[in-house]
Amino acid sequence: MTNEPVRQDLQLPERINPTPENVEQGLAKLVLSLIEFLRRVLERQAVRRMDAGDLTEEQIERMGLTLMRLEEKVVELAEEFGLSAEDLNIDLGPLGKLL
Amino acid sequence: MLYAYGVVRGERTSSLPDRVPVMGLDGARVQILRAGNLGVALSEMSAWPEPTPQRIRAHNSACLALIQAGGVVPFRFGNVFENEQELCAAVEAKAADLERALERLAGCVELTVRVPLDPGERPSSGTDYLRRKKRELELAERLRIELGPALKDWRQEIRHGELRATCLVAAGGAAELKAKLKAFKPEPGLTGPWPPSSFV
Repeated sequence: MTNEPVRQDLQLPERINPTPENVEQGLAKLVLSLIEFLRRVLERQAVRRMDAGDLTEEQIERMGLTLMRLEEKVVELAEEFGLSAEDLNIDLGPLGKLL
Repeated sequence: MLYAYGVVRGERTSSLPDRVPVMGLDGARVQILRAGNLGVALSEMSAWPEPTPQRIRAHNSACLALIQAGGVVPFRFGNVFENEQELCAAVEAKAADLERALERLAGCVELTVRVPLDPGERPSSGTDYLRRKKRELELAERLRIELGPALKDWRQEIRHGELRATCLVAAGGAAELKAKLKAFKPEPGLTGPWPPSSFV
């Protein structure tokens, strides 16, 4: 824990604010957050289509495999950039958290 | 150095300390400082307060007491300011948001419900993966419907092998929520009440 005073509740929501030292991590955080958001949307849509009987067994398998590998890849890349799952849930200010 | 617990309505500035004594970190008495139309609950500290379990409990207890005393927009642990001017400027800069939050959170507390998910092994196929996701989404929906009438707001996430639901409920509604959960399977864990920091 830092011994510096913090004022997280009275500051503006966190901004993407890259510096020369953290530009890669900042960019990775933004990109991976968006990918994770889209992945979850696609996952829900896939489950709905599976329930509705819109997909063949082969399509379900391929879609599930793609989403599973995408999930694993997002986790792997986030770890490489020192990001946790919570880091990918970026704060959109008045709109709340992304995920 | 001023340690801030949260924001209350401005009209409580003078009345709170006498009517409802609230104790904060290290046994300090919580006072209310007027900041525009709002009030800030604070206590004086001689140095930056290292976060310890006792201090975090004291912070939460102070916020819960302020909820009982009429409502608070709770801050998370660790909001420290050099002086009153700095604190007032920070609060007044966000006054409109804080006033809306005060209205929305009035008399509410936060409870956390954790439902364990089938840990299983890595899905054996794409179909297995999607079916597992379907079960998780259905469980989350079942929990939301079960608790629905007791909830004022709700956040959920599935992570680390559990469904975690953060619930905003009326302070008096915690017992109702606990009762509803008794019959839910798989058996959930419940923690709280906490200050409703997740909904600020």
